[in-house]
Amino acid sequence: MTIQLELADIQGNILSAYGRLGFPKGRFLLLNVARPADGRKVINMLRPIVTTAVRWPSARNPYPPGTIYQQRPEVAVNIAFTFRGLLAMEVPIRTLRGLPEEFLDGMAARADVVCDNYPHNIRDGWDPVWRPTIDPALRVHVLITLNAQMKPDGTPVDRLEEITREISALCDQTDGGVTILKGHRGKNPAWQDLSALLQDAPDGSKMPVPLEHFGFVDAIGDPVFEGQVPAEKMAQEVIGQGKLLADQTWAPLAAGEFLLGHPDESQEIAGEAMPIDFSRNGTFFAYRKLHQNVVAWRDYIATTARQYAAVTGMPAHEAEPLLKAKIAGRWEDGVPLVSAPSFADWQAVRSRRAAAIAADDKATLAALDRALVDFTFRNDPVGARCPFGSHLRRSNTRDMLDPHLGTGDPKQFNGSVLNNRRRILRRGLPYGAAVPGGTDADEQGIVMMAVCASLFRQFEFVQQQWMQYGLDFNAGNDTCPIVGNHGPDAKFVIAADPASGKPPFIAGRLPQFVESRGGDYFFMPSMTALRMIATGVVDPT
Amino acid sequence: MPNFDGGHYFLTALIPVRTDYVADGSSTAMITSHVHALRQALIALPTALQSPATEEIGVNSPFARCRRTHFARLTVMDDVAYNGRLQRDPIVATITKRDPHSADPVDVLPHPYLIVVADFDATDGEPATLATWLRDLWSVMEPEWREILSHCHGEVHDAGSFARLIARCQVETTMPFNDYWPGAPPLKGLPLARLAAPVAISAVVFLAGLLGTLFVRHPGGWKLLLALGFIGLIVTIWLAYREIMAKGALPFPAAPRADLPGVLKSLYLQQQFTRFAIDHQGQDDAALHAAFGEFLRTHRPEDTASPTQPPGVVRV
Repeated sequence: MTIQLELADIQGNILSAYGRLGFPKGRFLLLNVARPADGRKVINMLRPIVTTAVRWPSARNPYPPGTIYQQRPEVAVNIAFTFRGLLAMEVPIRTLRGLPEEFLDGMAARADVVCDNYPHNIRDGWDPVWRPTIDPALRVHVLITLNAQMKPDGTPVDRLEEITREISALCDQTDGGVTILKGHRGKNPAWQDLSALLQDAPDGSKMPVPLEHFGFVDAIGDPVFEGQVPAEKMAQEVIGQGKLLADQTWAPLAAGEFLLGHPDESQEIAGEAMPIDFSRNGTFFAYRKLHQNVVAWRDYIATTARQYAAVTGMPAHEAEPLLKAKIAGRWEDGVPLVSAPSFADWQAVRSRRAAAIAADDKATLAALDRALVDFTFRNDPVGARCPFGSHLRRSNTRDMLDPHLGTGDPKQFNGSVLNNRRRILRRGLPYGAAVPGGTDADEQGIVMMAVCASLFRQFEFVQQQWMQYGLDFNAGNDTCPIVGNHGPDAKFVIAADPASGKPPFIAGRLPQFVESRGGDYFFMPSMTALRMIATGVVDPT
Repeated sequence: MPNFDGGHYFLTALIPVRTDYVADGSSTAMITSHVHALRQALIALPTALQSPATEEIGVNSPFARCRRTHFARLTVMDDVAYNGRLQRDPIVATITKRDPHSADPVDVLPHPYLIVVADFDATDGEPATLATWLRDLWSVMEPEWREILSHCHGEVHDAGSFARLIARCQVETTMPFNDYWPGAPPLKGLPLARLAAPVAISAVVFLAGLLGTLFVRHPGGWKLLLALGFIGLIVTIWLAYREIMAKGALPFPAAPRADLPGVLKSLYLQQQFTRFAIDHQGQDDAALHAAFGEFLRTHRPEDTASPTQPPGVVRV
């Protein structure tokens, strides 16, 4: 019997990313709760509009008449709490003591663990609203995420403004009991506005594109776990995104890696905050506001690509996209280097896609989409195709850490076993726009929410050991060439195939491309737990 | 002798800490315990410079003054941890009528210990070799050791008494570890044929004697052969065992350039060569040749004295 998740109990945005469901706009608000009763009142008033994981019918496949179904909201609303937020809501201490210590610490206290005090100390680098403070009235307690649909002109639907006003009015009515915290960098200090990158459609309207500011197609690979997608879709979805078994087939990850109260990859239900209803179907996430130095990125790529072309003797127009692909692990349109290692290979894939689009060949398009994630590192043992240090290989190591992979003996393979407990769901949207003539002082970046059952074991491990260190990739102290901290001597090694007799290329003196601008660790409760918190009836006994 | 391995001496010493009281240097109103004051003294010792940030501080570990020391650690052991009651088989306990309520003894140490562990360059594991290092160490960090050992038992007033105290408190290091061999060291295998041949001959004699004793009608001489074979087997197996164990007890050979100056120079060269490789990639042979000549002249790979990485700095 496969697990049947109770979708109406799970908040939306965990099972699937809103960006992909037609919500390209976002607005995130932070609340401080000075008076617990007022905090509960505000949350209780918002509770009826919180979006759950219940699937809504698509326009193409409406449900039969008479079916009770969830209407697709114009704006998806979700609520999460910091540890101090739960304390401010008067969740009992006996419940709170069951929460994990990294969550109790909060992200600011973990800044050195996740390497956020570089290039600036978080007290200077972070947006004022996120900076650690001793003033209880300035602490972040509640995060409300609003993910909105978009009008054809590229602006969010009007409902976003309405809900913002409703939340603001609810807070005002408490007369200081609950306040919206100010101090986000950007146009409005009272909230964080987000938007997918937009392009002009042929009819003059705006359409969202799944790109981030450095120009890569984002959010391609994401873990797939038990119960996440309807059973009939699972067999397809797990390929390349679930876990790789020893026999080289794919299976969904255990639900407990992403939802509390379910068995996880160690085949146990981890200890949680009690009562179990408080934890079950909830999860944690790290909110990361990551600034992108787009100008530094473009300048560095242009300069280094010239050097790369000169050293390797390849044409300049191939060197730049290849350099970017080596850094990311994928070509800018998402095609993995493992399956298309050369510029010519990539062009071949692109022409296949173009031909399939022209012929409206859905089967080929689906196969090409699947190929974006359906690969392992078995056939690239020295990183000659996809460098060990590339962002892709660091963030999802698939089978590359299998100690018996090098034996070449399929009977000894272990699949992705050393990767299965280090997966995170990535949710979020870009913010700002990298306009021509802009500078790196402009507001542009991405808000990423790394969703997982254990921030310590999953998010922090990946961030500290795989993004900010290189030992698991035989890369010494080298950090991720995109999101890692880059000291004066930061470098990125592009291995060459030893059989080719060519030397490797070392991209030296990497500038800082990504900077942390704030965030915190949040608990996203189930609808049951949200009710218990909002009505003050959490009972750990 | 595991105290010495791979060209390094591995010292472990447990020095008993005094259990009487001592004046508290930070207070005129209170006195304190030696173990408390010792911890205070240890925490005030600077550690090695382990990151770019600490490198900027520039106050290095006093052990970095000794150019033979790879690693040193001082810590305090208050007591041994009690692991709980021993496992008891209820059936055995019932048969032996052992009272299940009877408590197991809980053993404790008579006083805390200062644990000193260090590994340093050495030619052998002789006591005199340890003594020379200890005397070196005393010569570069006498004030620190005087402060630390003032809280321990034992009179220390000069290099000689310091070396004697540590030697008296030494316990055998049973699991030394170092890893400076880039490949497999040139170790000779055991002379299996030579070890096995006497055993095999004894076994043949023994078997022949056994067969003769069993199947010959008047096995007088065969019995003698059997006895000889039996004794021979025991003696040859014991000799082979002794030789194998003696070979196993031999220290691992020192890796090339595994002494501290060699290791520091290697780390220095690794950093410089990485920069060199980045800066000169893609150059033609002549330019590369000239640049590498300059690299050799500047960084002098064979000269471990300089230029090199300063000791006590963790930088790779």
